[in-house]
Amino acid sequence: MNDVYVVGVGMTPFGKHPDRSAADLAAEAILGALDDAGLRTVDIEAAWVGHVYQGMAMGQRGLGAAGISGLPITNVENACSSGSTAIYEAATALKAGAYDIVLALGVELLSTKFRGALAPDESDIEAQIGLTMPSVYAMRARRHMEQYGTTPRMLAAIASKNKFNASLNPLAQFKKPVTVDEVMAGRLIAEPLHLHECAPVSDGAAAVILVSGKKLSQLGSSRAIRLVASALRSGKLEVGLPDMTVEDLTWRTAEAAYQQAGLGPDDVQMAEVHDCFSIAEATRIEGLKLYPLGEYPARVERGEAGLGGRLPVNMSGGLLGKGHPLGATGVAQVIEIVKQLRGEAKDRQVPGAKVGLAHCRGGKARGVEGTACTVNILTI
Amino acid sequence: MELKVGGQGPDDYEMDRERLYLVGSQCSACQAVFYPQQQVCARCGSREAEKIRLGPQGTLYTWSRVHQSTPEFQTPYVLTYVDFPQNVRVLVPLVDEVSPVVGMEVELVWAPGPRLMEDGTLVNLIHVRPVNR
Repeated sequence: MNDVYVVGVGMTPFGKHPDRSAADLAAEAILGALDDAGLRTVDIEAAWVGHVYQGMAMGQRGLGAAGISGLPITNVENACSSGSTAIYEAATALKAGAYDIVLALGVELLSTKFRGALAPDESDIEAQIGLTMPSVYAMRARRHMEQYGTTPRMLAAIASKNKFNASLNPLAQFKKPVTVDEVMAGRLIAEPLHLHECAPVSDGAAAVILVSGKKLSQLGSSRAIRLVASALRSGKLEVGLPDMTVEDLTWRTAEAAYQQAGLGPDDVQMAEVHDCFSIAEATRIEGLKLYPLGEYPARVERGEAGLGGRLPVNMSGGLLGKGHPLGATGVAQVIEIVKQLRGEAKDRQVPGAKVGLAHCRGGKARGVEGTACTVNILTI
Repeated sequence: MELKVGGQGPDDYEMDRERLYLVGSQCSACQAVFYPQQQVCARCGSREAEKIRLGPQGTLYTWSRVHQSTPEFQTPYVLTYVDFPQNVRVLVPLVDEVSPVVGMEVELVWAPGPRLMEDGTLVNLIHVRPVNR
């Protein structure tokens, strides 16, 4: 199988862009990634485009706005993992030798479509009796508190950390740090989760250019970062009474990625994980086996997950701080790891990082703990 | 206008001597239990299943009081996951004015809310309430 490298990354600022179109956001990210890679529009051989709510042929509209057409374009919907699934599909095609230079794009314009709490699809029977995404995670948080002694302040510390990290990221939606007390004083969305513990409604686009090892030696890019693993799994239908604090889906995906990379949890030096809610960062990190079950929130309170800590998590600001334009999220996570491994993350640079992991999962359907999950591992 | 809510249809519950039960399915091959009824077993793939009564009592596994929702719901309301002795977990709202506690014994009951009809009245849905109230 061929090796896969990231040679170009580009993204728009995340935030509210109600005056722009999704195609316009996509074009900005694509052109940024091409410029970063030193490649031209005609060099792209195939593209995968992740989005959730942008309607038919988003990919063709977005690439068209960047002056790219005629090539194989595949639109990908996999809930919040749509963008990272686009990366998985692009990487899989490169590994198989089908292409040498491909694009993975994620894009979402949500601010003109949504307000308030996001819910599973309206045909879902749990959504019909009031289940919202915040309440799904609130009920997991309640179990984490019951089983491990996690406190609301520990969960608030996760949100506070990510808002602080976002204040160091010029492309993040939130510019201002938020203290633990401020998180706790916020209005409750679904008990025990407060406003700052829930990812915002966001717009944005993010793009990466992936190349085969063969193409890399022709291009000779010195800033290339190797994608050593890309795994995708879906949630299994649950039977019986599973422990809601255990992320089986995250672990099955991570296990596949660790195996591909020939690495384990101890090798990971920094991680971007899917913190759609404060509690989610904890169950992801524990699901990835980066911390033992139940221990992570207390360690965040002690500063272990911040810059200079044992394992920096969501240095980009995560979904809570950087924003969460669904389709773009998984691509932006990989971009953060690429910038960190290149040593280009400026104020939030993790010194000497050589191995980074990006975890993205999302969606809810009745009977499964999560719909889709990806784990991408990158190294220099 | 009638509002159709999944899992609350005539095949999904039974009343017996004033007690309310949910009706799920049990795989004839591996005994896995599902609610609502499922034609194909998610564990073993068998297509043979029989109906099984769930409840009328269960244990509250977790809960959240929801303060922000979609426009079809009147907030705040409490959602719970209830573990039934038949080895299945079901999402059920808790009746109003009850403080939820993990591990609390609850029973099934009809009650209004939290879903709203188009005219603003509350839909009658299957809830749980504490036992011995």
